[in-house]
Amino acid sequence: MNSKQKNCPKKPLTRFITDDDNCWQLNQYKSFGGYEGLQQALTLSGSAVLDEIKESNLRGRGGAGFPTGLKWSFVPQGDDAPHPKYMIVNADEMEPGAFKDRLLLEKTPHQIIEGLIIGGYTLDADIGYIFIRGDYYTAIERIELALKECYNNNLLGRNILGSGFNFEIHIHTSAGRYICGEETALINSLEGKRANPRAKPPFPQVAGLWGKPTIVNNVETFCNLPHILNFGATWFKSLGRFKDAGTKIFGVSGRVKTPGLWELPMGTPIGEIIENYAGGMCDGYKLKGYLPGGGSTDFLLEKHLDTPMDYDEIGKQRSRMGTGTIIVLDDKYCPVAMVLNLVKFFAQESCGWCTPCRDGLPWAAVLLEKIEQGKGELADIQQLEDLCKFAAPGNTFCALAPGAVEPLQSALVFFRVDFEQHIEQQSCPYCNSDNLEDGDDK
Amino acid sequence: MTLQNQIPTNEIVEFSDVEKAQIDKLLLENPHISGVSIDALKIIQNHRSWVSDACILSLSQYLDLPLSDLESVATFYNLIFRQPVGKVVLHPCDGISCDLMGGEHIRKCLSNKLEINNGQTTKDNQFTLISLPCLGACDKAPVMIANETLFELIQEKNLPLIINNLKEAISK
Amino acid sequence: MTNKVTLYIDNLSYQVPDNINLLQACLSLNMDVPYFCWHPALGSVGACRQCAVMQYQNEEDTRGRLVMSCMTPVTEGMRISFNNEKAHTFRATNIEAIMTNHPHDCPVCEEGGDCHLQDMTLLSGHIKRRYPGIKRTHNNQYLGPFLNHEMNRCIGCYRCVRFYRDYCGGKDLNVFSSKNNIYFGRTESGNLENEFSGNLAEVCPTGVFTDKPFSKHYIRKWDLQSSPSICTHCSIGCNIYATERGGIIRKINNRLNQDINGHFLCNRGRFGYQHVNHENKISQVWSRDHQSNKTHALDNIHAHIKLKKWLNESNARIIGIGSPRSSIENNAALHKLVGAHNFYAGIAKNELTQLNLLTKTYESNQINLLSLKEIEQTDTVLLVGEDVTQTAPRIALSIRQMTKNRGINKAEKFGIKPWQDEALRNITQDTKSPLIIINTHESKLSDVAKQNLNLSPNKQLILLLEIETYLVNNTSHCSELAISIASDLLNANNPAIITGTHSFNIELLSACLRISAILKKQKNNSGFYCATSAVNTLGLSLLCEPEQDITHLIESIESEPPTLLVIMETDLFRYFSDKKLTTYLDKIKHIIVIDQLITDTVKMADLVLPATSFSEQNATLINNEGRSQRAYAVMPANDMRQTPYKWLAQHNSLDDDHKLYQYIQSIDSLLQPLSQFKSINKGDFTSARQPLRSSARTAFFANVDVKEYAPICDDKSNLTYSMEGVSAFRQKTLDNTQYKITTPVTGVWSPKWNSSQAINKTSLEDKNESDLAVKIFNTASAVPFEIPTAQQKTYNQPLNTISVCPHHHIYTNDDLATFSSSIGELAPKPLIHMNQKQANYLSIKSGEKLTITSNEYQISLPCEIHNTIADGVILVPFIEYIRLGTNIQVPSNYTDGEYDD
Ligand SMILES: Cc1cc2nc3c(=O)[nH]c(=O)nc-3n(C[C@H](O)[C@H](O)[C@H](O)COP(=O)(O)O)c2cc1C
Ligand code: SF4
Ligand code: FES
Repeated sequence: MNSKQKNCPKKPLTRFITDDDNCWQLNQYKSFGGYEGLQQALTLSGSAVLDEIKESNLRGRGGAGFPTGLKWSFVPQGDDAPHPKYMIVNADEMEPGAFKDRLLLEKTPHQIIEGLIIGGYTLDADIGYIFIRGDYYTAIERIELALKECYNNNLLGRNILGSGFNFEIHIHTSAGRYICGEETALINSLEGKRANPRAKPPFPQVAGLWGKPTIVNNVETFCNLPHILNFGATWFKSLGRFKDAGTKIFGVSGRVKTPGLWELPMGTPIGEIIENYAGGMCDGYKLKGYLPGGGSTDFLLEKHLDTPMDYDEIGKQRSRMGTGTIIVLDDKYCPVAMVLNLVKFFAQESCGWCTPCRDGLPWAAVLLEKIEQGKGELADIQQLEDLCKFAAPGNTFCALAPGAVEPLQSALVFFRVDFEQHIEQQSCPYCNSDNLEDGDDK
Repeated sequence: MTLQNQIPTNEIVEFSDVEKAQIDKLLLENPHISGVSIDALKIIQNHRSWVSDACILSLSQYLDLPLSDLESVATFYNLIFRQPVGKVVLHPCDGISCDLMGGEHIRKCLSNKLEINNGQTTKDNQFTLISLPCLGACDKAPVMIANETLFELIQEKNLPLIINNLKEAISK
Repeated sequence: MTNKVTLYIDNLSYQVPDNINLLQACLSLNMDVPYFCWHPALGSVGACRQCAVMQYQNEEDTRGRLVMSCMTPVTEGMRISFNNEKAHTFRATNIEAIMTNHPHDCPVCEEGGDCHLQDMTLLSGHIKRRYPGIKRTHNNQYLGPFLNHEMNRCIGCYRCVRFYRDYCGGKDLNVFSSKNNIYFGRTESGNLENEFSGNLAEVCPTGVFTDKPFSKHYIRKWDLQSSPSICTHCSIGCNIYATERGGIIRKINNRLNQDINGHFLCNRGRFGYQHVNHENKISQVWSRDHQSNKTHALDNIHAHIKLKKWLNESNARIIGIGSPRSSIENNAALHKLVGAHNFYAGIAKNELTQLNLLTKTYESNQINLLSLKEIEQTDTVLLVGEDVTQTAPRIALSIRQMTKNRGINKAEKFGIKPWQDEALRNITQDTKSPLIIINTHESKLSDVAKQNLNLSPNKQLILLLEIETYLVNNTSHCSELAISIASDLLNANNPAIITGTHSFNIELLSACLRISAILKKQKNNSGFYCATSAVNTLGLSLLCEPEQDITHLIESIESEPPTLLVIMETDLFRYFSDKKLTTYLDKIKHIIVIDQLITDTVKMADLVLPATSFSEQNATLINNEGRSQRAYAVMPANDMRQTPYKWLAQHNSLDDDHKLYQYIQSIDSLLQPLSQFKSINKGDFTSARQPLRSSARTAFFANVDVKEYAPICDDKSNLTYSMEGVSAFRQKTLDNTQYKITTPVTGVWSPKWNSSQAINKTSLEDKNESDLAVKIFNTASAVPFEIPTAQQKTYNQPLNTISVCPHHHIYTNDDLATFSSSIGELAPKPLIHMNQKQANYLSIKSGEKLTITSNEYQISLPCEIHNTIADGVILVPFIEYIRLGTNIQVPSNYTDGEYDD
């Protein structure tokens, strides 16, 4: 398939994004080759498309990096498969420090829709949902308009582009809860229920929304599909600099010179992203550590900067790729305050279903607050360590709590001195740091 | 409805034609009634700025869903307000990326300026302050959402202007 | 049939059934695995994380991984460790986390001593609080007369909402908010609407929901004397533990009987006991002197002298009235005293006919008689003419469970077991096994019914006859409705017909029986179940001859008044209008009433003999499926009260048990198996009704006398009214009789497990250990009987278009339960119900009064309009319906023929 002579892009995901404010619209999207991936897919059988996706080694961009093709292959196929089947775009993005999906949602809504239609075609799905964070107003507006454009242009609805394939897409704006991003909680939310995660098995692929086969994938995952169809799996694999295939939107936030988002090959070293793209640390600030993939990943240090942004490689350093959005901790911000902020967030966002998360995280938050306020005892550190083990993966009902304690458990190792200082001095050593003040002008 | 069912004596509200039309459209798109409950709550909130007890009761009758189911859902989600809010709800971000960039200070300044704590509404009923976790604009930290607009790279000195602009927007 | 698999737990091998989860397996192996969110009837959801154990892939695996035992199906060769240190630490931290918000209020908490949370906290080894933060607090709600609410104690196990909503179909209890602020309650204070809400007191593992009437006379569990008994408030005969201290019944707990009530009781059964403690209970013999018109107390000797005199008067014509709420023994004693021809049942005319029809059919073996457990296993139910939620509530709960079976089958295809509760619900969604309800009005089961057919009795009958015709000969032309129902029954693997006698409609019953018999011929798996009116109605009907019902009794009194009328535990004023009855009773020379409470009938008596309540007597009761069950006294009879058969023993020459049971057998061969009950009265060892720790027992009578009284003996059973004897939990089956009767277990208690959750630790095979029952129809040999064809009534005026039908209510139907204040609080006001069409026709508005008259009675009640009532039907409260009798005149402004439905 990749034999076709095409101008193969290096940055497929962002190739549609121009300075033009209207670059998200259908005509512009098409003028850059939009919906060619879909047309390509429609010439193939569903199973051929699935093979291509499997072949491409695409791994889910929502955080866990699960191979997309493998996930899809569990969906029942054939004439006696249950219907309707559902395909859902997870656009809930509420992970602290993650802001990559917003870019794609606002700038390339058609890329997402195209990916979703391809997904629907591949698995013979009937209905698509875009589950989008409620406060992404611009994105919501554009997606709604983009969907209208699609319906008007026979890209959605009955007999899409004459292929005989029927597919509808609905948009659901979330009422706001981080846990809605967890795929089974998301499904409950779509059913109008409290967003408690579901027990697995059954996996959503066989019994998800309304008990029917359902696929949930991240925005960015869907965005990759048109290009894989268009330029082929081999091309896709060749994009990565390490083992993982394709490109990814990486981001950096914190005290760096130019925080932002960039589409870069998978496997780009962390240091390169922070130095070359984010411009390095702001003047007067030093890098103390960073969360490589958003608020629920373990801290890494300067010594890990050579690590490529590759699922397995980061795993070897005991952290995670997560969302690929790096949060940088500088030397003037209190690491205890940072984990306190994060743990508080996760405690606040616990759905309240299982004990380690519902009661364990608030407990950890109380201890961290106590330490941060200069009232800590050494025993508190031990308790925090216990609580991290308590909420370890497998111990809780979903991955929220294990993710929540990742920054904490690594901070307790890497920044132990800071914790101890808080306790020894009975105050926060950073409390006079200018960081707490409005400091953007510096 | 069964014989034993008692309708609570609470007051109810009459939904506007627009609200009804929007809810009916949801019902048309979704074969499962319970599937529309969150969207329907949001529609009501859009029109009335918050969802009162009476609204929930009316909605439960309109959709023929148990009252306690709707209440259970309404109290679960962050963006359904079950108490009255001011004309504009200010959502400064309290996510970590904003805090790293001085977000906490901005929130303090906002509190001081409006003379309310987080979760409260100003006496003139203009503003309610509800900080939200990471708003997904971390490269522009610190940020705030208000009136469906994202304010980026907020600095203390810009706050008076932002507030004034919002006030003007309300009065329009 | 379940197969066994081998498990290795901490390197020891065990055999367990292959269809259960690991938690259940461990508990049944008597291991102390702590848990909260799991419940044997509600299944597993994996929320509390308390039941964690270490699982290993194979023998080489030394690391293992933590799994929730409740979520893990047992598999062959599975290796786990309970004692592993990591697992232990996890469980200890988990309960410590749970306890971060739990108040330190055990000393004032009513759950204390009977608390699953206390047990689990001790088990998991959490002693010292490390959490330094502030506890979250909540406001409580008023939830009605049955339950207290103390939300601060909540540990977030979600059991209450899963029970109330998913199991009972309740809508008004839910979980609100989220994170560690979750709140379980109603949207606002108010009565919990569901009929099974009282179970929350047992379902909640801690003290959030506690038994409110119990609060009013609270006693710690370790001071409660307890014994196995049978609920006397409807015909099902749910198994209960009655608990007592100081002569006061304190609380009713569920007693697990897998065939009947399982883990749950209805509110009438749980809270109806308060009549035992009622101020109107009769505690001594009263005699009325006609000359002076005064009532005075008599002692025992004089009572018997009087009784003897009246019995032996020359020309004595003696009539006795037996009671459906009294035991077989009591009724048989009266039967012997007055003779078969003079023995009438305190049962309404139509019901006795219905009962004869039922017992003959049951005996003929033409239908399969189901138990509640078997109802839960059926896959299609046709429920006819009985609002079971109101008349025999526990059935409704079982029917509700049966509707889940289609979903369970569907889930099985995904490899999901029935106990994987949440997964099951996600797969099931709206899938339900068909439940078709035919009645005069919609019931609380309507939400799970495939069809709710609200029809007048006549139309119900027409439909049933059509179904019958179609089943016999499916070519004949029938209505589409009949064909669809018949097809549902035919398509099912094990369909059930469920009905009851509360419609008082004989034709409907025979139609149901015939359909059931036809179905059984075509499908051996089909079953039948019929609710009757009271706990021993069916038993009583076996004792009396046909037509010896209450109407015939009155006719007999009218034609020739007896010299002596002995009324046992029957309030005749529930059947007849005051005026009519008083005139008849006035014609009788001597009236003796044996009863527990001062009723209007008691007020008419010349001699009142105080009868024991269910809590003071050992009794045999035969429920609606012919299951005869043994109930045990929880306390010695109070004051002068005696079991009625003891009052009569001197006079009917049945003065020992041997003779009594021999006499019972001689009345009807179906009662043969009952003789077994006398042999269990004495076992090899005695069991204690009081728990080991019963405190201050020697000081009970300190206000009367300084000396310590010897415990009162119970010579009718092998239970003691003391701590002496084997403790409840240690008993094993004592099974050397033909009918497999076992020793009674007096309560639920197990080492380290003080709450009633200890029941879940009994091994799976022994679960029915306390089932002291014989099914009489199972042991009988089939006697041929042809079920009469139902005749469509050709009504001569004016009931052909308007039917006055009985309206039942859970809190008013049973006479004893109405003496409970908590039940009384929820009793509805008497109203007449009809639909709008009917009201228009009668030109009556909601709230206006409607008058209905019969030959000798008249009611005038406000109307309420409900459109879920069938056309042509007027519902009147059950009690009034009975008093109206069958000769009902339709409302005054009705003229025949105008009404067109
Ligand atoms: C607490 C929690 C929050 C999550 N939030 C998101 C989210 O906002 N967006 C997202 O794409 N995935 C999120 N995920 C991951 C999803 O559960 C799921 O793995 C993902 O949507 C699958 O898509 P992918 O295979 O394309 O990565 C979250 C997971 C957890 C446990
Ligand atoms: S870890 Fe447990 S409580 Fe936390 S969000 Fe997941 S399921 Fe809910
Ligand atoms: S009992 Fe197993 S998780 Fe609650």
